[in-house]
Amino acid sequence: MASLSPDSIVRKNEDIFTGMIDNELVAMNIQNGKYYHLNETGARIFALLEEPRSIAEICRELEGSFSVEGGQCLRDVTDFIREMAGFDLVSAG
Amino acid sequence: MASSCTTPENALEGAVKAPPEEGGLFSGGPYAYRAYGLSFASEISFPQWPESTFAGEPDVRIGQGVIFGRDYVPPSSVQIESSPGELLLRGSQSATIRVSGGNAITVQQLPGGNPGIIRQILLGWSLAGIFHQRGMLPLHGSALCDGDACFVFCAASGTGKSTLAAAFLNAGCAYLDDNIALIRFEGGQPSVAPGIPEIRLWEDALGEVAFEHTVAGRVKPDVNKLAVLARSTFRSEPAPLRKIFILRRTNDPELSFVPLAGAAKFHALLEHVFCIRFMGDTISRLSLFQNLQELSAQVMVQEIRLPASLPRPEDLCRTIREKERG
Repeated sequence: MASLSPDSIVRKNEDIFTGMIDNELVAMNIQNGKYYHLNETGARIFALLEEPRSIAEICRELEGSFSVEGGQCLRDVTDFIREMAGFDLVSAG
Repeated sequence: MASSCTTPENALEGAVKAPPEEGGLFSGGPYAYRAYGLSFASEISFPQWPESTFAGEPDVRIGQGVIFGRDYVPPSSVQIESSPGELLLRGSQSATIRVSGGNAITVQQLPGGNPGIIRQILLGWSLAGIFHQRGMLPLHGSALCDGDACFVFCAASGTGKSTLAAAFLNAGCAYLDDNIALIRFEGGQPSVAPGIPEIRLWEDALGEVAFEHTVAGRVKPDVNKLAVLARSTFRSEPAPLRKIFILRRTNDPELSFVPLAGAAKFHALLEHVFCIRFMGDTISRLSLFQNLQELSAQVMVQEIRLPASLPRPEDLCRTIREKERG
């Protein structure tokens, strides 16, 4: 995967189906049948990807909901996106 | 993953065979039944199933058919093949069975095939195939009703699920099924469909049964587990599902109840989907995921951690009922 920047566009993988259980998100890749789950914050980020967004846009949305400094948010979201891409939940670049 | 659906043939290699059934497996029919919310037209009798009458096409047909020709050689051990909408069991001793389209079960009995074994495969694996091909959600569990509240108890085989079910019936509760809890969503609310009025109990547990019953025989020819028919305590209408309990044996010193939440609920229920290990590609991944997610989101799931020193079934039943009544 190419290195990520604030302008990198993140897209949800179309093979991923999701649902909420309590405050957690469960997801399944319909191609390989693998299951994943995200905590409340991860679920919030994933919900923002109904449409493709840049990492910077995701951070702007989160900064409104969480008390987090901009630079820290960017680092955390970038790491999270990279991890989700590793599991094929999203593509980014 | 907990084993929830055995292939009886594998367990009976070299076992004593039951005497041939008078008239043959396909004699005396056709038969009409209603179970799990589905109508069945069958060439094979299932004496424990609720008989029914219905007009029009049945939901499921069970019948004799030719799957392989005269030169077919069965495999030396059971093989299962699967694809979307199609399941095929190649038995080594009993039968070749095909489950297709969620509406047809075709049986080709092998020479000398044991009718009792064939019925067990039909009541377990084949029914599971029908349910999964229809996008339904069967759990391996006992579905019990305490008043209007329905509870499902899931557990790995040998944990004592049926013995606990018998304790609930002794206490005046009713049941929908002792093996398959078929979950349906009526108006978005989960409910359990009535199955068949049979409980499977070990022979030495029969002495504790206080409810009206008859013993239909052994579940398998060489196993001391009995098919106990209890029609007076059977509930023949669907019941809204209140809670799912997962019974788990532990080395803990005390009994405990642990509520599950989030993804842990989902994965606990996935572990107890009926016969999921033997369904292969015939299961719609999307239907299974959506059903489990919707069930997990709507129903409380609680793990009952059984201590190393197991409580008596009647004591466990009383504890559960008292906790549920608050």
